[in-house]
Amino acid sequence: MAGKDFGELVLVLGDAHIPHRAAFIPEKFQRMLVPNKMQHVICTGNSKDQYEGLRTLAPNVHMVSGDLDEGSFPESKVVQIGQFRIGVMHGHQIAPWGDPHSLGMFQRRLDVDILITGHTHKNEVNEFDGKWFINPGSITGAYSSLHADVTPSFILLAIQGNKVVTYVYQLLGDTVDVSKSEFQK
Amino acid sequence: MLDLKKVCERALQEGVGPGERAWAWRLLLGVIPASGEAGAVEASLKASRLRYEKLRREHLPDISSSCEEAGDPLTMALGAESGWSRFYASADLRAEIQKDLDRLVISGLPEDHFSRSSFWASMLTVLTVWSTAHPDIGYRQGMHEILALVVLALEDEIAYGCGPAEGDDEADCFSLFEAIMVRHADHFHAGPEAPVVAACRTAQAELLELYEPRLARRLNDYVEPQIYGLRWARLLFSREFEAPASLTLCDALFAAAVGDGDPLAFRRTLQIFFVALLLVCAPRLMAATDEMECLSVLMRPQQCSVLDVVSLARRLIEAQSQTRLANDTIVASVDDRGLPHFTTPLFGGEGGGNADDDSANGSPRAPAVISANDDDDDDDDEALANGLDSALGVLSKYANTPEAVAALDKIKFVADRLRVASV
Repeated sequence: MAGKDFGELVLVLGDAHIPHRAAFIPEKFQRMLVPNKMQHVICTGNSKDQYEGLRTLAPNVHMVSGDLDEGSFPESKVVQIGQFRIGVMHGHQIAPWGDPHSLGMFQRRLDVDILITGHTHKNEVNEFDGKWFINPGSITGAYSSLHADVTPSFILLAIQGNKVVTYVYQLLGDTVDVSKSEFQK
Repeated sequence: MLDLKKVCERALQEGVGPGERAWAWRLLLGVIPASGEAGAVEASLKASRLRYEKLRREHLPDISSSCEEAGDPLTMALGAESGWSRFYASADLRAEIQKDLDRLVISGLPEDHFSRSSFWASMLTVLTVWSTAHPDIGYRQGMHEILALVVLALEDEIAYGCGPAEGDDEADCFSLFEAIMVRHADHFHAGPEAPVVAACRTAQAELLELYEPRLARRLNDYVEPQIYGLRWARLLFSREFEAPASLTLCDALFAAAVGDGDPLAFRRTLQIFFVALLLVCAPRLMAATDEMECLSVLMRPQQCSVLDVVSLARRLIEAQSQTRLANDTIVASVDDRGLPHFTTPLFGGEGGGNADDDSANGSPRAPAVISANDDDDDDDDEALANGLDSALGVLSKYANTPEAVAALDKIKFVADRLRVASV
């Protein structure tokens, strides 16, 4: 018999580009990302080296292939967490990169409530046409061809019932900045 | 409506039936008032449900409620204060309790009885809320087995359609569990000085001695009481009998413990049932030749009838009922040598009383079941000396100051004098 729903925590990150564009995940982020805090990890790609480490963080790890991952992981993934269908793609396949209409097309194609993509190295939490589009940015602050000044970031989703609370973590200088927002189905 | 006195009488005779058990327990444990007026009962049930709702909100943090407090789930690792540590502690606690629940098997019931029960999810919640609300003791393994007894009583009530008009299964489960734990939680403390350990020792070494000195001597020679006794006491003897017999024993236990407001009434009742069970095991224990055989009698489920234990306990209580209670020991009246006498015969009142029978009302000391004709002064003194020796044996393990050692020497002196006097 189903018990009370206590909710789930989902870590969203990607585009680490280790070792080619960055050496390591920032030390303050590493201290925060410890096992037994979250139920799921969603990774947008280009973070192959991190895969084994991510598996120690949570029982469920969902990784997709970035353009530099040589197809080691699937192109896209759909995951059901609580009441939300969540789609994940790296985003280099979606042109123009970061364009809301193009993202919307893939959200409809995957038939998901939330579409998570990366590639732009720019963190976002946007609503468009009643659906939500999330980009965790680059967890290492690796440079991208789109812009050079990249703030290291990742996102934590707190999902319970029909509500999602998003925490965006950014490393500004040496300080971890957290900004919180929420949305509902 | 239920009458407290009648329920107690039935509980101490043949037990309460499955359809009425939950109501009987509510009455015996004070969850509903003994006045029995319909209005008062409804009101108290409603009040306890509201209380539980409040406790649940307070002690069962989830992600939603935790998000509402300031702070994010992760920066506590960097030293920030956060309401999230409460959430994580609660999640860890739930995982620990669930592990015990997953392994819960009660003898006499199918293995999946609880996982298929309508109470399954509630069991986790009730234990989590109670433990979080009682941080001084928290959750200990074994509490889930006490909760299982409550669940069985409530399942029967539902099956018989006897439940309260407006049911709230989880709240009712909580209020019965809480009422038991108010009296029993202390017994889950651990350690050599814990109350439950002392209670077992008193039961085996002192109380049993009053009724069955030879059995007591044998047990005190062979067995440390907490080895079998912790399980007996903590689990209310529920592992010693199959369900539903274990529930019948609880009927009697709760009835016998209906208090005069004395916080130790429950512990004393536990000790009486402890001794009653030892007495029922007596023939097999006297036939055992070493520690292993004694323990195999004491640590395996009992083949005897629960009603034998209940009736013995009832007679022990009746013998006590004309007594002065002093320092948790059962002292009927005390003659001028300090030896206890019982004012009513326990086991049929045959002869074999003390030669020096100075009890206040002149009735002979009741003979014990086994040593029917052995009761005379010499055995009394020797029994007392042996009792002192065994207590000394235990205490000397803890005597690590010169004053303590000196005090123990003094006691030993008394024991030796008693033994000399008995020769």
